[in-house]
Amino acid sequence: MNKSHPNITDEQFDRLFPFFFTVNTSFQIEKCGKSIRKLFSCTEGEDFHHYFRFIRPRTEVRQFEDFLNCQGILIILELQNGLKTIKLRGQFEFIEASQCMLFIGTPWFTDISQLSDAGLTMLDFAIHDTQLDLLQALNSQESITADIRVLLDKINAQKKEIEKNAEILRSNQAQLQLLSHIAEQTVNGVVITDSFGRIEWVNESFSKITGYELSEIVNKTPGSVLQGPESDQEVSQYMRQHIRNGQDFHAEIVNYHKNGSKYWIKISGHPIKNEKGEVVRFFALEEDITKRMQTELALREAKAKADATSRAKDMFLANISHEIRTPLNAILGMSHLLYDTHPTKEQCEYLDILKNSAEMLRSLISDVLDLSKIRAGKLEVQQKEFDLVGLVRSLVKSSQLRLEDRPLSIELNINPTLDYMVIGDDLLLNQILTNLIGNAEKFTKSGKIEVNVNLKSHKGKKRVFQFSISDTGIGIPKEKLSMIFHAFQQVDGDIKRKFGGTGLGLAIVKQLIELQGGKISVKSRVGKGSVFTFNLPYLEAGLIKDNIQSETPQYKRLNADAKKLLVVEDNYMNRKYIGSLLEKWNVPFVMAVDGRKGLTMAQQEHFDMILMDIQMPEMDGYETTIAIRQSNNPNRDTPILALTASALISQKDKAFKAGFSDYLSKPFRPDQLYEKIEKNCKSIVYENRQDTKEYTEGGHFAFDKRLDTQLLTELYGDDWAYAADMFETFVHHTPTEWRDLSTAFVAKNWQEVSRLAHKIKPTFGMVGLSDMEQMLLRLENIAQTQPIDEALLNPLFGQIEQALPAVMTLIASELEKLNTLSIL
Amino acid sequence: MYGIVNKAIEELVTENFGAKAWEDVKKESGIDIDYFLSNEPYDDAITYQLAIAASKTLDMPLDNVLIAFGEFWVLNTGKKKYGALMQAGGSNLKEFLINLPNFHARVSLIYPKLAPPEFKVTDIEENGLHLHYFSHRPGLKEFVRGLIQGLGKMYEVAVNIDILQSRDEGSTHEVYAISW
Repeated sequence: MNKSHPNITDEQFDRLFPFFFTVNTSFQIEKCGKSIRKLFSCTEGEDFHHYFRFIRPRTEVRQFEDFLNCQGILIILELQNGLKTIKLRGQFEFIEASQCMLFIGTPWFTDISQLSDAGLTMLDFAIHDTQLDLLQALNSQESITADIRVLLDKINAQKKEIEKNAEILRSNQAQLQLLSHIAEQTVNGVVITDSFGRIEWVNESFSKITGYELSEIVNKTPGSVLQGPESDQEVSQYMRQHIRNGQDFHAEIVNYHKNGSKYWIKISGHPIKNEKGEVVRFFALEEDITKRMQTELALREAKAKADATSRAKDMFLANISHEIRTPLNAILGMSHLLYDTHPTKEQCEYLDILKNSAEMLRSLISDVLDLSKIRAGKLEVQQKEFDLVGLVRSLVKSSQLRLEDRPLSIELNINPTLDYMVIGDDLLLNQILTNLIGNAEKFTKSGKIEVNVNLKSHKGKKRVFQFSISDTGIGIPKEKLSMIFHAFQQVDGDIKRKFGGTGLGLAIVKQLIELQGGKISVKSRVGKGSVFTFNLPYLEAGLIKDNIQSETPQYKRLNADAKKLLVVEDNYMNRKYIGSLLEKWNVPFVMAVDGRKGLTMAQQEHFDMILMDIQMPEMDGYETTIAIRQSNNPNRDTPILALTASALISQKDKAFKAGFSDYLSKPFRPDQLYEKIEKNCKSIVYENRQDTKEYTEGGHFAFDKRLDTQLLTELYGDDWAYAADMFETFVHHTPTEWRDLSTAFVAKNWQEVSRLAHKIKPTFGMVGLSDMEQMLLRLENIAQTQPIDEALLNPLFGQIEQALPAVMTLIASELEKLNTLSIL
Repeated sequence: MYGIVNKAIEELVTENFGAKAWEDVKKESGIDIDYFLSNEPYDDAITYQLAIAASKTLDMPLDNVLIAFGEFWVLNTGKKKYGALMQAGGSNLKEFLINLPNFHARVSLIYPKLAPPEFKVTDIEENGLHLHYFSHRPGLKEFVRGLIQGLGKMYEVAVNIDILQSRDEGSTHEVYAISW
């Protein structure tokens, strides 16, 4: 080693150049560094060429001369060790002293993994060797490349996304162009606002409708510019709220033109949302609907007028019907009652005529009403069982009586196989036949009227009857035949003068027949007579029952389960009629002369049924029924039958709405009332009680002196049964009611205490406990006076409670006496 | 720090808690960088912010986040990206640790902007040594602990680590007594 260099030991040399080796002039390897030994199993004296090959320079190194020429240049060697090849980078120097070539270098790796593949670690390299740093740098480069690759992938993905979006954008733009073209061209106003409803864009039509250019209203809300005094604030509020909530809205509102004129607009607003679902704009379509609204307004006004007129007409009809029917009801009712006074045969005949005439009168009134009802579509075709043949027969019989003094006879021909009841509307048939027979009587001077009833066709239970009424009267000219069924049309003015009549009859007949699904036709020859033929469909309902035909039906059944009824009726004659019927049927009842009194009585006692007139002074039937149904009334669930002279279906509906259970139109026949009572009381089993009146005449009964005997006498007179009823009600209900009241008292529910005291108070009065009634009245009053004075209430309550057991015993014993009296 | 560190935090959070959690961490940290370049130096504050945000978002103490990150760095990032280099670092834990000072000296040359920490090894024994950690970065004490734990796992030896000194207690640097 050169002396100018520091002396270094072999060990130091090995640490500084761990991959060194030396080759002698015979190309034999002499010495190896510690690290190169890890790369091949080198032993001294082995041939250099066996392991190493020159990569650079590429010259053949066979002679040592060639080897010497390798000094001063970069040498790249390839080390072969079995399958492994490792490159070494370094330089050769000839060492004079030892006559050998010294290689100083380091393995050349291009990837850090090759390091471990070669079995090396960092510790095998000299610290000054930068090979590892190069590897690290190479590694960095790789990670940069990896980063670039990832970024390139990202860029490519984004590029694709951008292209896709551009495509969407292009198609959106095309659509947008089309839409904006439509928006510009449409006759409807188009507004685009920001998410707060401030105008960003409007189309030409909007400017035309409103009078404002975009520049005048931009950034303002449409409402602030266009709405005015007649704009509905609720609608405006509704739109504002929907804009705030980002919801669709549809509205119609009054707006104002720039020139101040008013117009109606129909607005549909829709939010425009971004991809996150946030509202970014609003888009509204506005249609000028002024013309439509004006038409609608005119129509509404016209309809309101028409409705008012129609209502007035309805009311008029209902009232007139009431005015006429009420006295008529009495006439009919009284004639029914007269049948029960054992009239002579002759009187009976007169009664028949009286009754038939009254019924005819009723029909006539009905004519006018019916025509209106039919026209208003308010006539209801009833579906009930009736004796069709009996009906025709009795009509013909009445006619016979009328024609007795005239040279005109009436003949009835009924197919004898028609011996069954039918289901249909008997009143309508009655009206049709009365009319046609009446016409025949009127227009036939002499000769014969013939009434024929036949079966035209049948299918299952369905029967089509054919009726014909022929006469030998004046006849109808051919040219007039087509108009006789028109309202207010008679053949000529002369006829009207000669025969009278409204000219409504045939029009009603035709409409009534058609209403029931039938048809009418007429054949006539002037001077010879006319034949009216009509068909009507009915359902067969079984054989005719004898008792229905009877004028005085057997009402025995009601005796077996007598009820107590309340009759609320303001008309004296009607009260008399109903009262007589109920007495005849042994049905106990009480009467109230108006709604208010009826309500009072209904509050005091439970009834099995209430018959309630509708039109009454003070409180009408509706109000009374509503009051009974809506309060804690003992008759809350009692069947209430509406009695009304009104013929309008609307009143019937109203009745059901008010809480009536059933409906009976006046005038009614006894059997109709009987049927209603039987139907509505059927479910109640009630103790049979005989009419006590006849048994107590002259009887000596005195109430206990501790009771208010004067009041009791006023209340009951000698009607012990009624008294027994009231006493029983008291004994039956008072314990429960007092218990309820006590519970409320303990709970300090003063409102309830007052209500219950009010409720039970009259029962005490009704059994003659006037003092206690007074105490309850005080209890009622104090319990509803604020502030509640418990110092007053407690002793009063205690007083009543203390008295009650003795009182109950007393009333029970009085009831026993009353019952004994009833049985006597 | 170089982007690779931040990237490693991203990977740690994404692999263990999902992409959504990473978005949350980023949002919490207030850092708006979509992609960290491995060899690009980033402000240290970013790394701290990410670690603090991860601690908040994942509801883990910051120390635990740092330890987890240290282990992850060795076992995932190191192995995946520097597998061979790590392997070249030594054939066992002891060799690796002894080589650590040289390794970091080299790194400081290759990555001039990195300012990597400096390590020193003393008290070398058969089954233990003292590792001295010098850094201008505060608060990464537990990260280093995580790294050493990760190395133990890589070389499949149970490691015990005691911190003998730390800057928190006024020393100039941290000294870890490592035994296996």
